[in-house]
Amino acid sequence: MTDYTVRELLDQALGGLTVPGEDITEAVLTGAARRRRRRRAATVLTTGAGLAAVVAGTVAAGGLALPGSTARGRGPVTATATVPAAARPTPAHTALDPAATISGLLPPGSGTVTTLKELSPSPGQSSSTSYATSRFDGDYLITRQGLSAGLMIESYDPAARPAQRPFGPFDATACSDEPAAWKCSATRLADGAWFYVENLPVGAWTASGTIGVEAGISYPDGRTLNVVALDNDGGLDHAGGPVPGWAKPPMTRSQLAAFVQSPVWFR
Amino acid sequence: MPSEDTELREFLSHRRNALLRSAYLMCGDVHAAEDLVQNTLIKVVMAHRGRRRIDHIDAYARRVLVTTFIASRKRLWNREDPHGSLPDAPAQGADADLGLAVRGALRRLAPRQRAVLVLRFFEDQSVQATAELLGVSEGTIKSQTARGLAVLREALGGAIGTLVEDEETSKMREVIR
Repeated sequence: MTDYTVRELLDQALGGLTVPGEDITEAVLTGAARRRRRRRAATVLTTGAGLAAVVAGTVAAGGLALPGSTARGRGPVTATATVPAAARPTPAHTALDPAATISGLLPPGSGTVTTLKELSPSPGQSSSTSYATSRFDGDYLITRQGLSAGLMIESYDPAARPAQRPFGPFDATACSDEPAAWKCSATRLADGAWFYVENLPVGAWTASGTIGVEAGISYPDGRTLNVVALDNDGGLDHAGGPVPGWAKPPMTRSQLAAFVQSPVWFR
Repeated sequence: MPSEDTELREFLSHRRNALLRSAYLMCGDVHAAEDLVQNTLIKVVMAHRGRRRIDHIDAYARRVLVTTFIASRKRLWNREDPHGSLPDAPAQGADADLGLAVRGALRRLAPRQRAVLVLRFFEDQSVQATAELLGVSEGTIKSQTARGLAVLREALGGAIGTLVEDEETSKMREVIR
């Protein structure tokens, strides 16, 4: 009789596999482009019908469609130019300290903002390339009366030098894969940027009871920002152990919408 | 974005075969494994250009691979025959036959158990990493591992003497009891 480790058994099971020699890189990239086009087309059809319904309803009611009055549920919802312009930063918002800048953008009385982690260049595991990040990118703790909420910010500016790790841009399909319960809503803003916001119910972030709100914005020139606001530290690195959390996320959907639409992020 | 494309292309080119091996162990079929890997890589490309930054593309791809596999098998699970007859017990020292028997034994496992064993023992992922990857608790990973190993032991017991486990797994089993 022979003794085998589980690993050795699994290696034996690979005996029937002949690794194909051809490179499928182009096929994968083409497949991704095709799938993206298909989703975009489906989104246009869906939102076109939705927009027609909204217009009809608006005319019938004799009023204007309000931001946030769009239907909720699976898939993106668009409402061109109905979202108010981004809040203009006050001079204080342009301070060099990221925590101070963030504090100035939070709703009044939010508490103290502490930088938990400045995201270092993140080369990933598959490449030796390293990237710079925006000075705002990182994890933050918002503390009020001994209770803490978490905030994560990541951004990408294609014009930044040195080059940042890219992500985005996203478009009308930003909500395509999200569960209906997350109430993900994608909106095209007046300046052509795409904005989305969604809830993070229990189980969306971790298996624990953390809840939150997430939003992002993607400008036509490729600048993209993503912000996650959690009702506790969310297990963020360097939080220094469990800290009692807030009863709800530090910002509502509309507050987070104004937060991400601030022009301060890319100054 | 030239740097992005370069990195992504490098990943697609270099990691495909590693993903294919894991996929083959889970699917038990070359063509299904190739489809799974291609589908996974397409999702990786789309996410890479999506609304969130992916710092560890390899870990992300691993997660997509197993979740896509498990989701696809939920539909097919009833059509599989997990408790069907196994291939004949292999003769001692016959590697090809042993490989066949192991693949047959893996097919007796539920898709999630298969994925857990592949992640834990083939990809050397820790209990914690596997739990995070699959979005379940560490206890679930431990119990799925124990059940998966029990099925393997039962299925392969006649063909091999002892299914040697690493120390960590033995300790884990004690915890589960």
